[in-house]
Amino acid sequence: MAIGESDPQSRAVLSPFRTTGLSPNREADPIATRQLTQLQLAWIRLRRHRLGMIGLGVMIFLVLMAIFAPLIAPENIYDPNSNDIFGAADKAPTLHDGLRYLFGADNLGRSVTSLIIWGARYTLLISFTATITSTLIGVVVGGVAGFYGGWVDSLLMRVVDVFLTLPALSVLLVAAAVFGHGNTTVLLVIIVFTVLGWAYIARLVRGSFLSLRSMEFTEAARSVGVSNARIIFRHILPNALRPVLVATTLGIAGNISFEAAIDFLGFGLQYPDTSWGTALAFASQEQFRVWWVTVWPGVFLTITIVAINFVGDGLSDALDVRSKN
Amino acid sequence: MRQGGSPISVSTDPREASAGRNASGNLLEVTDLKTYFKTMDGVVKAVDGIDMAIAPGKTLGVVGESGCGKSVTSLSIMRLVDLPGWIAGGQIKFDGKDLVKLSEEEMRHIRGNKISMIFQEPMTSLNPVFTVGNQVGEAIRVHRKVSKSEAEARVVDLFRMVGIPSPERRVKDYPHNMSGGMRQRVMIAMALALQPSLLIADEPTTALDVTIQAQILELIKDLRTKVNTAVLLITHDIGVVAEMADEVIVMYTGKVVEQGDVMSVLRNPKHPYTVGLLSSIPSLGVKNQRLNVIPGTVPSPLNLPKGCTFAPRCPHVMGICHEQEPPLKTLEGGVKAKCWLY
Ligand SMILES: Nc1ncnc2c1ncn2[C@@H]1O[C@H](COP(=O)(O)OP(=O)(O)OP(=O)(O)O)[C@@H](O)[C@H]1O
Ligand SMILES: [Mg+2]
Repeated sequence: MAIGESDPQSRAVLSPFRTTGLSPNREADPIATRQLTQLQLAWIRLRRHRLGMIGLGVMIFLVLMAIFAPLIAPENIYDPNSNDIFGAADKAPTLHDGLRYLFGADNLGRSVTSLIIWGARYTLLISFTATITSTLIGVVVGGVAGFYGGWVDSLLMRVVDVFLTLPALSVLLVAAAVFGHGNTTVLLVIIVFTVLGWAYIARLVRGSFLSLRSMEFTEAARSVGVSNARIIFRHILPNALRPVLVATTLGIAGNISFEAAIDFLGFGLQYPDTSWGTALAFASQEQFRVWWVTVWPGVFLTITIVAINFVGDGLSDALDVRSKN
Repeated sequence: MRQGGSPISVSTDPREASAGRNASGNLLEVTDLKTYFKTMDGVVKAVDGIDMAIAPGKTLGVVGESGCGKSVTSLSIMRLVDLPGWIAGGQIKFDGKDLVKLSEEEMRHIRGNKISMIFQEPMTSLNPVFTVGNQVGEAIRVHRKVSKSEAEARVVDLFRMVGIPSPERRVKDYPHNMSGGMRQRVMIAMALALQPSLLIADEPTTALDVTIQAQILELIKDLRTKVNTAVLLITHDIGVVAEMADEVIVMYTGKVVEQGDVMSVLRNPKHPYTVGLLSSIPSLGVKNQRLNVIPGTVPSPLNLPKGCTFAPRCPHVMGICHEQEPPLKTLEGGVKAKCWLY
């Protein structure tokens, strides 16, 4: 039986669930999509999202590049012996040495190519880790607040408010002074970013949970004796996944640019730790005389942030559980 | 629906029906139940001191206009009332235990297991991200130690029992692949998965069209006789009550105004409100008809009139009605009415 045609009810039934209109090919082959899991459907939808796939491709490329930096970078930027300090200091971009000096070199003779490949490690490590921990904390806190409501909600949301109003730079400086003897380490940056980031996710998750909480399927699950923990994580969370994942991807992009900003201001990673942000900051100390050291990390930062936004966009469409096309 | 091997016909063990029953022989006895909601404008007494009792295998119909507290009553029995609402008083004796006093954890073992509920809205009562088979299977696995595949096999049996065609395939459907009638069958399968001794059906058919409505009611009847489940049937529809219920209570502004066996109450209603409801019976087959033959409207729960709350709309109103609240009096024939006329 073709649902779309011979069962007039199903059309009407769909409407309360759907956020998008009926797709034109809905009637065409309802049975074929029926056996697919939601995950498979999401993947199919993501694959059809061209920009999302481009963004995903770029991200996968960058992550692989970061992971395999020791193998692919022309030199090890943390090993002075592998840099050509005398021959290549402040070398301008040139086509003569293959990939190595394609983007030039800094005053220590480290090729910008290597800075970018190695710098991707800390840039991506910090932003991914900090965002993922923020999301985990935010989901639990926001989920509990939204699910239980009442005084639990009020209490947790006051805490969230406090964290939302924390001045980011001051927190970083205080943390560096107290825990890092004045220095910011990678771990410290990750922790500070987590402290600064989780409250946004918590507020978002709380909002979706508040509305999903009062949905009848939540009540139906309770009415058959499903435990609260299971309702929160198995029943409600998957329905709130779309905004959370989208916020997480955007959070990664935000953390990447914020990390670059604190590096630029000199509060971020300290030499020799190198990220795209520190590479970018370097040249400003040189009055932009060696512009190439600034421009190329900047270009990569921009490409990455744009790619992540594309992925976020693609995920947002792909995870729309109600749409069928 | 008559195929063999359905989980219900296999194991009609009388345990739940007879064991631990209340002293009076009733499965459920609600006494002086009060459920209030705190709002900005004051406390809403959504349910204000109602009594009811159901014996195993019997059906109690609850009727009344929108907002009179029917759903709140059923949610109170399930202990699913959330803040800003709370059970302010009374007893809910079930299987010899007072549900009001149970911990949330103890209550969780009763929900879906001993008491289950069918909701008003089949469209939104299923989680859109899981297959329907998965959801019904979960209801089983929460209470019984069975493997995933055993649970699925039982779900297929249940689906067959509630009349879902090609159940092996349908268990893999998502809710949005199903029509309203099919979803309501899924909800019923879920509610009946563990053969509860009490089924609360809160307007189980209002959202469905007439033919499906009739099929669903047949289904509930069928299960009642097979499993000896007691049913608390909440509805706007007097016709449904006449067809399904043994006893009926009529609610108005959170209180019971009339109570008795269905035939007596429907043939010879005592309370003017019941008379009004009956005279506005929807003609056969018309769905969701509004019952607005009674003049006036239901008073705001925040601002109930003094004395009898029905007095402002009552054709037989007397002086005392505005002064004092009438008691629920037992009349000859066993029917009770809350009215100064008697
Ligand atoms: N969460 C809540 N907060 C405040 N008041 C509530 C809440 N839930 C229910 N009420 C009040 O309780 C009263 C009874 O509501 P209930 O849902 O039980 O009515 P009902 O008889 O089931 O109506 P219907 O036939 O429309 O389903 C209403 O006056 C309503 O305003
Ligand atoms: Mg209701």
